[in-house]
Order: sequence, then structure tokens, then C-alpha cells
Amino acid sequence: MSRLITLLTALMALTAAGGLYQLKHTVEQRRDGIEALAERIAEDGEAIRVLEAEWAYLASPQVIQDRALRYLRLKPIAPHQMASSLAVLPFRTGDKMLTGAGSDGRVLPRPRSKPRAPERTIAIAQRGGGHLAAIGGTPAKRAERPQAADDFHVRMARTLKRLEEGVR
Amino acid sequence: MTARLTVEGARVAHLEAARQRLMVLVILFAGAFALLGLRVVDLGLLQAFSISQDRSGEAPAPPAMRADIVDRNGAVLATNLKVASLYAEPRHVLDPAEAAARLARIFPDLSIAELEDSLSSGRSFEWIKRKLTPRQVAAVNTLGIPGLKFTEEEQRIYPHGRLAAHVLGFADVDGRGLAGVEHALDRRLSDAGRGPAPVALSLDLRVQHAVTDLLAQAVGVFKAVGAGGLVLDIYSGEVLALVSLPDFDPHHVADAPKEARFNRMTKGVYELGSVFKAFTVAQALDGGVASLADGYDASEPIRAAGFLIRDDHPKNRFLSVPEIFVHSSNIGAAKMALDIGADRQKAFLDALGLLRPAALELPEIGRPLLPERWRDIATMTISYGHGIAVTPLQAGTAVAAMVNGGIHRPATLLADSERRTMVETPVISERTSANMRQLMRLAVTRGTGGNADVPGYRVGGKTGTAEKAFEGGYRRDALITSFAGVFPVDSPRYLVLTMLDEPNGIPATQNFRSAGWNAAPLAGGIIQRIAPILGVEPREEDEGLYRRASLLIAEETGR
Repeated sequence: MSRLITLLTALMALTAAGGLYQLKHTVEQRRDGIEALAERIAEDGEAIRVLEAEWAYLASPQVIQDRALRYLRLKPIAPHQMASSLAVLPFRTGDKMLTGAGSDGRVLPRPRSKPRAPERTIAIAQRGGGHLAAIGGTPAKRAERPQAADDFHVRMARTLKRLEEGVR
Repeated sequence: MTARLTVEGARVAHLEAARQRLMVLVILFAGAFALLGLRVVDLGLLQAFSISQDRSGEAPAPPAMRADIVDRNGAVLATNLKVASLYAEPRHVLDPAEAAARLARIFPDLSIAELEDSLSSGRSFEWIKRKLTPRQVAAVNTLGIPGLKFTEEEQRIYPHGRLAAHVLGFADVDGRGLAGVEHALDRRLSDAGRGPAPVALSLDLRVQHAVTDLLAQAVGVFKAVGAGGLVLDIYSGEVLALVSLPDFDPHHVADAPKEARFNRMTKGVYELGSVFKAFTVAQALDGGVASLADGYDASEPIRAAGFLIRDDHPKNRFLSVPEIFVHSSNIGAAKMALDIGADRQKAFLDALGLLRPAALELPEIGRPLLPERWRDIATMTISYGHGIAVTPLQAGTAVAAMVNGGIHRPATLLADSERRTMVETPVISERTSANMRQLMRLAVTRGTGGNADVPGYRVGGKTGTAEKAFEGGYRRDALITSFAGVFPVDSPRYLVLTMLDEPNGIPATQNFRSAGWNAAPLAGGIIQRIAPILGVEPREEDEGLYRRASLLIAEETGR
């Protein structure tokens, strides 16, 4: 009887020791895993910082403005080009009439008169040889847009065409 | 027998003692095991949950970094990057002369002699060069010199370069803020307990750029020595843009001339001229000294205490209060100020925050220059902005109080979430403020600020032209021109203040160089560009709003 108890106890002790060792080993492995993970998180965090800084640099207003002047035929938005809601848009007349508009014979509202252009800008621009046009809001580098911009369009068109052919 | 018994008695006693000792040990061990058992139960059952939730010691906390600075929309204005710094352990350098020669080839700015000195010093640590570029790191690595080592350091990066340099300031090589917000908020930025949360400024990067861009163009067009711009939310006091030109590159501060590091808007104090008439007229209207329908005789220049006060656009007649403001009459403003009185004028300007340094979150704050004794002649000149020098920032904040319903709020560079408390001082009544809005609109439609108008955005404002003070007198050839504008004036939201330092006349302005010809169109250009960014809707104007005041301005004939 007492031998059996001793045997059982010894067995239990061995099992417990084995289990404990296994557990300890697993915990150590996990800890190593966590450390490696934390290191990677720190590395990724640093990479994100670098990318965010680079993004901020590349999306800096000055950089975008230079690109826009170089490659886009866009002008700054003028006050008369903005509408706050659909209600202020005038109906179109003639063959371009909006569906349903005026079909019941009602007289269409007259289109809103075209707002005046900023006279000051034009006046000063003519007088000052374009110096002040910049302050009035027209990009100063308009006239000296580099030839490369046109090349860019041509190249872009060519590339797109080639891509389309490639797809077919 | 007896002896045997005795022997036996001794044995029993020995056994008894041994048994007792054993029992003590058994109890001790049993107690210890019972404690262990209890602890196992405690850990395994009772504390199991809280232990499994415990995350301490799992991942090492990221090293404390100086916090980023972002604008009101979260765009990064200042951040940190890890860069390598090169140091030497001179004890381990085998051939200092050779090493110095080869290092100097990579770093042309280091002298061979000094390098050799530090490499042969025998010390255990010597900085060679801090904050290397990746290319330089690779070059040093290929040298393969023993005793040279890298360590990682943080480098403060300003991705937008010069943009907002005066606001942001800069930090030194050890990450201590030396100027601008970097210095003013140094404790908050380097507070490790704050975590990685960035500090949000009230600036809007897009507005800041637009203002900088147009100011730079204006400096070129008018060949000015400098310029300044401010965009302010008149209801919250938030600074959306604060620009001072010339500016500097915060990455290369040492190369920047002192002039470029000077913040004209917050550090420089200037006599701003007629912009102050807004305060004089507002106080006169508010204090019942004069109503819109009253007027003053401006036909004769005033001679007082050796001064001659005359008008730049003389009308030589009786002028109504709106006319005094719109035509910018010094004589009228001076007489109005005399009616107000020196003490009340001083108290009013004090309430507007013009007599003490502004409380902006920058270390570069200028102290206003005030007359030593506030005599009548001072009262008169101050009424049109001479004899008192304030920072353009203060003037802008005070003008905002004129049009926002009469509440003075100190300007701030911090976004809403960062701010603590806001001190609000009522300075004029809602009604007077409404009148001031009308007058400022009329100063643009019918007065000196005409060039600031932008169709659709209802700009109101006041020009200011002043000669620069110089060695006790004034320099006729050097002007400070400014324009303080608000838009849209019927429900104003933003203030735009522009300032040009020594602008020149150009053919396009018929060689005039007063504020109406440079600072005003500059402000107009800024408004046209930033209004869509700020979501201000262009609208047709309700001219009826200004009718009453407008009728008090005589039509100009024969001009």
C-alpha cells in the first residue's frame, strides 16, 4: 500500500516537474516572440515616422504648387465659379434643357447674369506688365510654362495607348 | 535492575527528545508546504484573471521622443527621425593619422589636424560628427577603421522647410527648443508622460503657405526689405497663419542672418499709422463722444507742441465721422481723441491689449513703445497711430475686437484641444461693433482700401501708412504700410493683416507707395486665395447694410 503511494507520489512529482519545465519553456518562447514583435513594431513605427515625414515633405503646399504650375492647366478658383448649392445654378435653355424643366409651359427663370470679373486684377495687370497679376490671383508663371509639360501629355498618351494595346 | 531501568529511562528520554525535534521539523515543513499550497491556490484560482491581464513587462515601452507638432488639420509640421552619429573610441584607434586623413575626405568640413588630435587623445569617447546622412554612414562603414562607432540620435525635421519657421522655431542638436513654439512649449513637447500624442497648433498649413507665397511675391514686386502677414479667427483668437519675411531654414539656422530670424509680426514694434483710427472712432462712438452723424472741422492743420498734424488726403472742409475714417483724416481723428481724453484713451488701448506685451505662445514677443507721459499731444498722435509702437500681432488682435461684437480675445497659436482658459474682455458694445464693420467696409468701397476688395467676399478694412522712426525723427523715404482687413464683413469670421517694410513705388502703382497701393491689394489677393480654403462662400452684397453710414460720406466730385 505504502509502496503504491510512494510510487504514485513520485510519478506525480515527475509529471509536475515535466509540466512545469514545458510551461517555462513555452513562456520563454512566448517572451522571445513578444520581444521580437516589439522590436518589429518599433521598427515599423520608425518606418511610419519616416514615411509620414516624407509624405509631409512631398505634399508640402509649395511642392504641390510648383507641380501644379508645371503640369496642370489650372487656375486658382475665382469667386464667381463657386456655387453654394444646386438652387443657385441657373436652368439651361434650348436643346440643353433639363429634363422636366419648363415642360408644363411655365416660363423658365432667366439664367443668372454672369458675374463681373475682378476688374482690379486686369487693370493693374495691364498697367503693370503683369507684375501684380500674381497678387490678383493668377499664377505668375503662366506664360513661362515649360515645354516639358506638353511633352508630358504626349508621352502620357503614348504610354496609355501602348498599355491598351498590351492588354488586347 | 535499577541500573537497567535507569538505562532504559535514558533511552526513552533520548527517543522522546528526538521525536520532539522531528515533530518540530514536521510542523515547520508542513506549515511551509501549506503556505506554498495556499499560494498556488491563490495564484492559480484567485489571481489568475488579474495576472493574465497584466501587460507590464511584455513589450518594452518605446523610447521617449520629443512630440511632433501638427497643424489644426493634423498635417505634420515638425517630427523626429532617427539618424546615426559617429563617435570614436580613441583607445582602440590603431593609426590616428591615417584614420583622420580618410575621415576628412568624407567630411570636408572637419580639419585633419583636429581629427588627429581627438583620435590620438587616448580617451574612451570622442564625438567625430553628429547626425550623418545615410550616404556618409555607408562611406564610414566602408573605411573599416576600428574604434569608430555609430550611435542613434534623434534629429528634428521640419518637412515644410522655411514654411512657418518663425512660428515653429527650432531645436538644438540635443533636442532642446531654442526659438518659437519649440522653445515656448519645450516642456510639453519633451514631456515623456504625454506619450506620442502630437501638439496641435492653430495654424492652417494651406493658409500659411498662401500667405507666405503672396507676401514673397509682394516683397519682390515692391522691393520691400520685409513683410509680415497674419490671419486670425476673430471669434476664437486662433492664429491661422503668421508669416514674417525674410524667413530662414530651421535646419540650417546658423547660416541665417539675424535679420531673417527676426519675427516682425510678434517681436517687431512699429508705429502702424491709420489702423489706429479704428480704435479712436470706435471709442468715440461707444463712449457717446460722437455719433455717426457728428463731425469735425478738418479744414486747418493742427499746430501743437511743435507738431504739425495734417491730412495725407486733405479735404479742407468739415468732415463727418464716417468721412474721417474713410478718408483717413488725421486732423479729425486728433480732435476726436481730444474729446475722448487722454485717460480714457489710455484705458481703452490697455483693454485692447496694446499697452503690454502680447500673451502669444512664443518667446519672441515685443514690448510696445509708449509715450513717457500721456499728454494731449500724445493723445492726438496716438489717435492716428503715431507716437505708439506695437507689434502687428497686437494691432490685428485689437482690430478683431472691433468687428467681432466688441470682445477682446488674446491671440493663440494652440488648437482648441490644447488650450486651457481664455480671457475675454468686452471693450465696445455689439452696436458699436456693427457700426465699425460698416465703416471698415466703406473704407474699402469708398476710401483708401479700394484695392483690397475682392468681388463676392465683402472685404472691409483700414489702411495704415507710417514713416519709419529713425534716430529721433522720421525717415521720409522709408515707410511701414499695413492693411487690417476682415471678411466677409457682414458676418465677419477672419482677419487678415498685411504689413510691408519699406515698399517702393512701381510704375503699376503710379509710383505711389502708401498702403492703399501695396498692403491693401496684397490683403485682397490673400483673401481671394484663402477664402475658398476657409470655406467662406462668395455672395452678392447687400448694399443696404451700409446705406446709413454711406449717406454721410459726400460724393467726390472733380477728382
